Amino acid sequence: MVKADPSLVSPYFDGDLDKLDESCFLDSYSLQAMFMDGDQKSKLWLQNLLKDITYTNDLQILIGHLCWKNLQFSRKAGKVILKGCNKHKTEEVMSPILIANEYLTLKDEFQRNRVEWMLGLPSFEFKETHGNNELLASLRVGCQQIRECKDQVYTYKTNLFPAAGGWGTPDSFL
Amino acid sequence: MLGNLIHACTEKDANSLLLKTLLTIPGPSYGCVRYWDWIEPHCVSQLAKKYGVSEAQQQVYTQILVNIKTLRQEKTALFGDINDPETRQLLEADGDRLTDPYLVWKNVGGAEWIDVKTDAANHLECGAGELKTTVSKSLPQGGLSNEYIEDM
Repeated sequence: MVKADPSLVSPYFDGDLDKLDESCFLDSYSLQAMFMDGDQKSKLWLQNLLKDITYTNDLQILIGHLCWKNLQFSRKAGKVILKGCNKHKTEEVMSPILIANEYLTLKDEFQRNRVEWMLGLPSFEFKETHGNNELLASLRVGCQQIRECKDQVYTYKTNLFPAAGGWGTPDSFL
Repeated sequence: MLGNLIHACTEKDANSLLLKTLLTIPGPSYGCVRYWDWIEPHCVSQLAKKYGVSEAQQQVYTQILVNIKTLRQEKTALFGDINDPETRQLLEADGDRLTDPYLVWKNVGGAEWIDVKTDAANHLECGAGELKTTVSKSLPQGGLSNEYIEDM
């Protein structure tokens, strides 16, 4: 049974609060898995739904409702959305990008976190020069590592993933 | 993705937090002060191209420019001069702190670690270092620039 807390009704919920007390169509394990951290299934349902553009409008409302005032779920959804946005096939990217619009503009106390996760944090680029054992002395920064004014000196890295910045980490929006 | 981001700023960003973030975080290159500054000139330059831009891309760039125009009209206060204290305060209230644009030139030594923490159990080492570099004030005009940086 899902218990309703009237003080925590998201702006996306336009139904009847009493109906929330009705038995959920999901079995208890699936219901728990949706909100369990560390369980593969906790993200699988969202990953699967994001693959198809058919559900985008409903999913926008659902994501908005579940992420509202919920930092833990926002983080989980953010990972799935960002991974979805990094896919190569156009049809797989459409839904995550559209849902990201809702995710980024969802107004609550955690909106700043969600924006930082999706857009990434600006980090000054540096490169190591080869043949120097002293790490700090071998760093090249700013004008030393670019040829033209238009070359990139800032990158925007997301801190959503444990090995952020490492190989395979999805790129942020920027 | 850029088109959707600007669309979100125009249609859904009720408290302007997303827009303020884009208007305050540093730009990717020395050619622009803020991230926002490269978007409009880029779209204009892409639309000016005779070849290499598909019709679908042209529509996206045109829509971005339309959305930017709408944002400028609807949220005029946010698009004021960033040197104006009032505009600065307004942007920094929800966005990032506006950083002064500096060009970072050559390293002039002084490389030293100021704090190193080791977690032997997990084979992790984290260090904060200090590197002395020469800097000069930058006055980017916004948008893209092809000027070569001299005295590399």
